[in-house]
Amino acid sequence: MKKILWIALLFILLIAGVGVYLFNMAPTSTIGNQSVDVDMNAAVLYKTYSADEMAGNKKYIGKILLTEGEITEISKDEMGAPVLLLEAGTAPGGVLCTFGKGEDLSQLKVGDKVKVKGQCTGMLMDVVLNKCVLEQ
Amino acid sequence: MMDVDANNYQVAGTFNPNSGSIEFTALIKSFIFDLGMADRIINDERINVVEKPKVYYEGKINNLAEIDLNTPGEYVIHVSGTLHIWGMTRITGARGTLEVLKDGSLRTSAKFKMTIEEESMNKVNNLMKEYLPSVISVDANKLGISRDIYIDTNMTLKEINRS
Repeated sequence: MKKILWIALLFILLIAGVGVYLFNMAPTSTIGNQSVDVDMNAAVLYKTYSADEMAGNKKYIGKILLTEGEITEISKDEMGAPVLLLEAGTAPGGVLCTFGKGEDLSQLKVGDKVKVKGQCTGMLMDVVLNKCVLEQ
Repeated sequence: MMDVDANNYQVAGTFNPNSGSIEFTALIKSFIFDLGMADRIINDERINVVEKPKVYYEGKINNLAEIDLNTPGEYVIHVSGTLHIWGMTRITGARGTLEVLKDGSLRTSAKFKMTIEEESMNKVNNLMKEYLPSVISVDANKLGISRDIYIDTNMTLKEINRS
């Protein structure tokens, strides 16, 4: 009888633990294998978005974008996550791609052409993609 | 009772040293919540940010005359202005600091508070109950966010030279 009570208690604790884990579970830092909604060159994406920001918001916010462009700037955000700025032709802005904190992009340099997949959160000075991953 | 923290490192800000006007813009979807459930709520399609995707503040440093922007050091600032978030507008003020760095760039820090509409609070609270994992045995009616939102801003402003 005592053994059954212990098993029941352990079971309840396990369920509670799973619940607390799901409640607190940190958001994923990259989009991983999610399928692509929009595939567009970085310069075209910036031009399309900046030409009509409202329309761009409707088309792209929350969507998974695959974009290709030349790196014009490599930096890190305040949390140490790598950030790439992809060129947008002659425009002053670009496509700002923030990767997961643990991503190693040390092999990349300014001028390299890359393909990046990320989730669009909108436009500030640049079109912003978060939770990015490099695509081959 | 717990605080739900969210960080946003993608903020565009401007400061006019002649007029003292200060502005910053952040994307709502770029907030990263420490609490996973809150992150899933902000990414829910029913939290419609497409029409108003930005948090926007336009204000002014009222005591600009007391600040010497040519001398490195830390100065107390009094800011007043309007905060726009999720279609709501609030006139809000804050006391903060402005640090003039040796390279000429500026670092500002200020805390703002705004109280949101009851309707918006209810919308988030309803989603929160829906997202609560079914395995957690708590009374969902006792869960909810408060109407007060506190926004801490820390920005470094430097001249941008993109050709």
